[in-house]
Amino acid sequence: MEADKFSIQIGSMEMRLISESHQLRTRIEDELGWSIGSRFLLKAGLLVGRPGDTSVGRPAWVLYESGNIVLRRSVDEDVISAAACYHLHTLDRALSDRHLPLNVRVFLVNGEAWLVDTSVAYQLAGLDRGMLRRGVVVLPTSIAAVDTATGELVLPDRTFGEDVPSGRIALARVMLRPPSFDRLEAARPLLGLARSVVRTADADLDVRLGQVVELARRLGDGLEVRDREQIVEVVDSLSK
Amino acid sequence: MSETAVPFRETNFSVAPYSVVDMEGHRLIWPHGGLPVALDLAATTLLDCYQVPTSPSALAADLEDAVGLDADVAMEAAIAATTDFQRSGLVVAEGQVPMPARELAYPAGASP
Repeated sequence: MEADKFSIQIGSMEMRLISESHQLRTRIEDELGWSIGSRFLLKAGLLVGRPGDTSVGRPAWVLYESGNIVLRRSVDEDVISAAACYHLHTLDRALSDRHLPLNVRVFLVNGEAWLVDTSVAYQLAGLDRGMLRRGVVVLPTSIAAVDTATGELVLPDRTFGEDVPSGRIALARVMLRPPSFDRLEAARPLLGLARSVVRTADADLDVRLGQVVELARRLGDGLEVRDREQIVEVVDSLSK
Repeated sequence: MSETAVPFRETNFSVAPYSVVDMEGHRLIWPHGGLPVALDLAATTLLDCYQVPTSPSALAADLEDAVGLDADVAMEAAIAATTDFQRSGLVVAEGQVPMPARELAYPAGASP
């Protein structure tokens, strides 16, 4: 199947989408009400594909962010297109309000939110169903809007059929990898958090840095910098 | 007549636009053309020297005078610091422009 390639505009941000599912274009137009463009951009924001050997079982649809982070995997095309809309809506909301937008994976654990480094959580694709059986929800997005004044995750009000909550949830843990080549150990948590901020071309970095410092102070020991293996171990334990 | 390249040590650098917040024992800096970085107080002092266009050689001379470093050590330190600053997007060489913010904006480029 030939992939559908198109672009969308979220605020000042342009994003390219590549999808083997033609359902996605329709849902973006009908449910999000956004215009579809045809600009060719070098950066791909989302990719929907159905890889794998079709001779073995039903091939699963996979929703990737920027080509390598798996946001959702399902044999159901509806689930994948809903997850894509949820991610795009979350991104739109995160960039259009005053909250701090972070590029992280979001786990809802016992009524609290955990934010985890995307570069680690991409390895955990497929564990979301196991986690759900244990009451842990993995949001199909890599974006978290955080109210730094209260230390809460602010979830969008629309879910597009995804079985995920909305509203505000207290942040319990933020686990990030240490920034590369950094020699200042004391600065690692703050620096790791700053490097997780969703950067837009028109962002006021003074404001963003102020929010980063405010959130780090509010989280205290809940802001952790750990090696990849340590984070994988902690998150993996949620599915067992 | 061909132009002769100015050696790195004689090239003038100046600070690029950045946002900053001072913490205890370090400074968190976000160059508008780069990723956030943390500098200790010594590195912060060196970076401040580039508030006016300066070359690594001139910075090394300042280090000799102010701190009493040997000339070779001062030059090595000045070149190493300036190289780090340039790679981080904190300073730009005369005649060059910082990386545009749009190049660094979300989403990241697709990975192989």
